[in-house]
Formats: sequence, C-alpha cells, structure tokens
Amino acid sequence: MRIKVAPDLCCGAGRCVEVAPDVYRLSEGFNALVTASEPEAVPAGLEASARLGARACPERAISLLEDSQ
Amino acid sequence: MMGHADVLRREDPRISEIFDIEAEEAEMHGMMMVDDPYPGFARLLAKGPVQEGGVADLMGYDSSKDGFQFHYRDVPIYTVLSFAAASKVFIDNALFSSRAYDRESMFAPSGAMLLNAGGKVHRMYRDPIQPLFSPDFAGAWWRESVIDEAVDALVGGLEGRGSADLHSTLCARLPVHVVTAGFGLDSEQIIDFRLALLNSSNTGITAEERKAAARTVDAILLDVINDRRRNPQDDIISRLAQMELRQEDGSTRPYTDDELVQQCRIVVHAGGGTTWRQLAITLYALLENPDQLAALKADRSLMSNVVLESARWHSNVTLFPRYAEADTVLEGVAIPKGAIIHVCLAAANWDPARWENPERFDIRRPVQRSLAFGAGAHSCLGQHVSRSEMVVALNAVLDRLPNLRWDPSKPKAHLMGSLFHRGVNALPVNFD
Repeated sequence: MRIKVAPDLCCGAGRCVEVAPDVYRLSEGFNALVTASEPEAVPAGLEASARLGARACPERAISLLEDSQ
Repeated sequence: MMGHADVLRREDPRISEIFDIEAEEAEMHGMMMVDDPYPGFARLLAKGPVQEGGVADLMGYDSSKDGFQFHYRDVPIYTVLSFAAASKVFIDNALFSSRAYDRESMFAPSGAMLLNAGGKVHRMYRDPIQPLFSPDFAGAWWRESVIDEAVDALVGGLEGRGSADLHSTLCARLPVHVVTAGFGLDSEQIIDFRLALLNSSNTGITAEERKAAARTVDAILLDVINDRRRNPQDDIISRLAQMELRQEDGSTRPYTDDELVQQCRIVVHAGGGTTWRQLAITLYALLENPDQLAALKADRSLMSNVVLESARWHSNVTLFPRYAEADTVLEGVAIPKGAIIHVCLAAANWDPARWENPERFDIRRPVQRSLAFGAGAHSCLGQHVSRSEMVVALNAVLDRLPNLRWDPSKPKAHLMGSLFHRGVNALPVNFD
C-alpha cells in the first residue's frame, strides 16, 4: 500500500498524525508531507493505521493506493 | 434552489455601496487605507522571520491612530513573517491559540466557537460542518445547488454587452449570493441580510444602531432555523439542524438555536467578503498579464492553479492574530505568555525561501500551498466552496466574454485596501 497526498488539498490540519502517528507526520513546510516522500510505501502491518489516517483527513487529501493497483 | 436569476440580474444600487473596499474598511471599521503593502511586507521579512512589535508599527504606520486591527496597547505584540515560522504558529494552535479573537468586538458575538475555540471544543463545532465544505461537496452540491446557476445568470447577463465593470456585476454579487442562498436564506433577503451583518460590526454608527442590526441578523437566521427544524429543505441550515455535536464525554446533542445562529453568522459573513475580494484580485492579475490570460484560455487545466496563485500572490486578507498561551521561543525570538502574534501570511506567501520571484503572479508555478487559507485546525472552512466559485466564474468569463481586456476609456483599475484587507476598486473591461 502507498500513500498519496494531494498538495493542493493538504492544509496541515494534522488529524492524520493524531489518529495514526505510526504512519503520518507533518513535514517542515506542513503542506503535503505526511511521510518522508510521496507516494510513500506504508510499512507492512500498518495498513489499518494508514486507512484510519486517510479517513480522518478533513480535506480528503490522502489517497491510498493498494499494491494491486 | 432554482429561480434566482431574476434577483441576480436586478439592478440594486446597494450592491456598489456595500461592496466598496474603502466604505467597508475606512467608514465601517475605521481602518487606514494604504498603498499596496506587499512589497513592504517582503522588505520586512528580509529583516527577520519573527520581530518584536505589531505589523503596522514595523511597517512604519502610526498605530496609535485608531483602526489598526489587533493592535492592543496593553500587551506585547510580535510579528511572524516567514513561511516556516507562520506555518508553525498556525499548526501549533494549542500554543498559539485563536483566543486572540476574543478581544475583537467584530468577532466577539461569535463566542468561543469555530473561530475562537481550540482543541476539543473547536473540533466539536468544526467536525459536523466540515463535510458540508469538503472538496467533493463543494464540487457537487454547492455547484449544482447554487454556484452554476448564479454564475450563469451573472455572466450570461453580460454577454454581448461589449463592456462592463466585472467588479460590481460579478465579483460583488456572486459570493454573497452563493453562501447566503446556500445556507437557505431567501434570495430576496440576501442584500438586506448583508447590510445588517455589516452594520452589526460597523464602528461608524452608534452602539444602539449596531445592536439593532445584530438583532435583525439573528431574527432573520432564527426564522430560517425554526422553519428548517420543522420542514427540512436542501440547504445548509437544514443539514446543520439535523446534525449532532459530539461532546467530550462521548454523548451527542443537536445544536442549540444560539449555536446555529453563531455558526451561520460567522460563515456567511466570511464567505461573502473574502471571495468577493479574491475573485476581483484574480481577474485584475489576469487582465494585467494578458500572456497568462491567453495561456489560461488555451489550457483550462491551469484554472485551479490560477486561483491558488492569486491567493498566494495577493491574498485579500494579509494577517491573522494568535495568542501565546505560554512563554516560548520562535526562530530565536523569546515570546512571553499573553503576547498577541500578528501572523503576516502576506509576507509568508512571498517568502523567497519557498517561491522563486515571489512578487511575480505566475500561473505556471508548480502547486505549493501558500498560507492564504491559513493552515492547521483553523484553516479556512470555506476554501473549497470559494475555490469552486472562482473556477466556475472564471471559466464562464473566458467562455462567454471573448477577447476580454481592460476598457481604456475608463480610469485604470488598481489594488486597494487597508493594511489587513485588500481588493480592487473596479474592473472595467471590454469584450467582443
């Protein structure tokens, strides 16, 4: 699973970090980065956490790409 | 919500009186009108990312004169100018809280809710309303219910006329209609409601007159709220009236009438003013840069960038206040608990550390979010509705008013406003 953050949508609300700190973090410039780079692979076993963070986003800025896609 | 075209196309002299930057800034709020402050903000940023003092003083204006917002003589003030520091302040809302608004008479009636509150209380109020302003809801419900019809009526009404002032005929009329009708007010009431809303914070009239205006605002809203609680319709007030607030103990309850009135007041007020000024600034920037206007006409995929770039290049709001909840150090500058922070997003949006040639309006820049819509938990609720309105309106202008250009027979349009709120005086154009 990979995470894609839309840079024109992410506003740094930080809800993803709150519910899934094991997957998401805010970048220095706040916008767009929740992990080191994007699209970013979700470490194995943290898929549920990644989904939780994506659902929490008030701006619907986070898309999750399943490996099969 | 159809059938608004007649109202939108009707001449109403109050429109040009209400949507006049100088009338709103100077006469209603006692603010000083200043020349374009953006170059000055940029020079100030070059001297340091965080500075002691309020932004007006640092810019060389005499803040002892009345009317400079968020200038309190009894508390220390610091100004934050760089993109990195301003982002940090917006995102750390626990440390740099929105209680700064508590002291603004203009916002005081809004109470500790969407604008002022922090943490869990803010979230309790923001969570139910957020989905009604999501990118999807903006692009679907808001467009289908009100934006598309309003743009069609307003821009369609100009077709074939050859010349117009797009400021009074489009920029002033669209946003106030979209947000007020979207919430569920009768389209015939929109301008009366706007006048009362503005007068409720108008310092140019007596306190009694302000109170009377505030009562009118509340009465109009309460009528709609009471009606929609009984007869829900396809509007925002009906949807909010059916929603539940999730309280800290996990229990839920509906909004009280008072809470609904306050939510509606703040969102309708913000939505009718900011998008008016930003849409006008966007058209001004495009008309001043005919090569970019032509490029946009040829490639409409640039449209959403245009709106973000306009908001970065000349955001119509230049500053938000914050309140330091504890002693802290920001970019090496010690800030004491209780200080007011002027977050100068206008300077942050011209930060050369983030944008090349930041003073240039350039629709081909790669998308990098600016702070025009703020950031963090309090980032602009209505931004997607606003962006959608601007995109639909600009596309309609390009489609239906061909060969758009300045009208050389009229005085030249210019950017104008106070240090805090910017817009344009007029947009006289010719088209085929």
